[in-house]
Amino acid sequence: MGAMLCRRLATRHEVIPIGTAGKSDHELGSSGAYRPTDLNQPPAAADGIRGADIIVHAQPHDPAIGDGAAGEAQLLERISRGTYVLAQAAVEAGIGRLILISQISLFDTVSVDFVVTADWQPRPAPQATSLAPYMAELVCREIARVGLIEAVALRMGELDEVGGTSADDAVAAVEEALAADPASGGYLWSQRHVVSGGYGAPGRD
Amino acid sequence: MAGVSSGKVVIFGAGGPVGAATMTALKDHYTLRCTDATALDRIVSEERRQSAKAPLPELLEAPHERTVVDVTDYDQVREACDGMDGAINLTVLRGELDKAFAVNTVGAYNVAKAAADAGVRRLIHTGPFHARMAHHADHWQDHQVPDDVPLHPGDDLYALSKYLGGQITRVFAEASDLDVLTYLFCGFRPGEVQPAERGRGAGPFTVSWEDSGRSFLYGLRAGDMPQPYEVFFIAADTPDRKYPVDKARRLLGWEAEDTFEELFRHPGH
Repeated sequence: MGAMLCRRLATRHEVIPIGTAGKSDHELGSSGAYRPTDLNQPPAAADGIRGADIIVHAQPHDPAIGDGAAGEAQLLERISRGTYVLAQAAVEAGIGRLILISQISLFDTVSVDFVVTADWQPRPAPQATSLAPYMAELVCREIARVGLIEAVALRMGELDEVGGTSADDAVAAVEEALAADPASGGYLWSQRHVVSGGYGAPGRD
Repeated sequence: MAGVSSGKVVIFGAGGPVGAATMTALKDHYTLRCTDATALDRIVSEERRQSAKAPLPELLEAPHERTVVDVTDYDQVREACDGMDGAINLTVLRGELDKAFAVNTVGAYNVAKAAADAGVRRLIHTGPFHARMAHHADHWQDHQVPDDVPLHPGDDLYALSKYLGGQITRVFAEASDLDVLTYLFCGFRPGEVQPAERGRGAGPFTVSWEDSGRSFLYGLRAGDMPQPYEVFFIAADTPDRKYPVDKARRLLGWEAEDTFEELFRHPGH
């Protein structure tokens, strides 16, 4: 998801790709130079986002997980702490908006009978992979709530998969979030569902 | 699921002052497995008190156990939960970024997961209620704030990382058979009021160390809860009416014995 967003957004914006890997294994199109960044470390995060006006935080959408209990622990810490450090660095740098790419799977446990909207409480499963994007949302929501930054969570499904989110819809939703009036709804935190098919469709709410 | 009136209870973070008070309150009723990231013997021998009047843990003899457990290591936590009827998570790391999320968030995940996996009947999780966060979304200006009020931790490292741990614990309770009580604390002090302290007041969300320990005895013993995850303020019911400590009285049968009334009355009245 992150690499696709870099490629597509770079056609209209100046994109600075950052990630935890030493080098990117993905095609990043006309994006700027990739910056390897350990988001758990405040100085590294500050360096990583230098020069940015808005942050798109896609890591919680599909984070890698290692093996066993240690892998679960690392995932939860990387996403919760990493999102906290990233948001704090953004606040320090005077960046006004953070767009979080979260997971529509936070509602997988809700019966398909229901018309789920973005205002419903997420229902993650008690597993690290399910909890991680929820932790990222909570970190952003609570920091936004106290007025330090505007944050929006775009909950997306698997990229270009049946019942997931198409690349076109993902890019359109991010473009919309990039261009939105700050806090136009009266709040500095908001969430939207961006699903192209399956029970969560049509699209967004 | 009914409460735990006897049997074995593991305490994570037993080396702190709430752990010390809890061990004192529970030792004659349960067989305790007292764990901390630092050996309790060392905490006692080095007199590592959190503050001048904070209690140190007793070094309980068999059949009680004491052992070193790092809550960031799932295997250690799982082993500590083996054979336990109840579990109490008192672990906390306040101000260090390098450990706060590991202990307060991942540690909560490890404890909830291990407790559910081991068939622990009741978990008592703990966290802070920050009465005053100095931002516009806290509840400092309110009165009669109820136990279930959503917490707004802001960007405070300690408050936020513990908040995440609480949410993880809630998810486990709602999705599994794990029965969870979450205790929220704010200020602590000794139960005894010194003559010079009379009339000086106290924070609106204060409990004595002794009462904090006793609250765990009531929490373990309490019967079925309305929901699998219930949150309780653990504080003395102070006359400012900011935080009525009503839910613990209704559902646990607990209320603070140390009410600090002398602190709120003019000396001599």
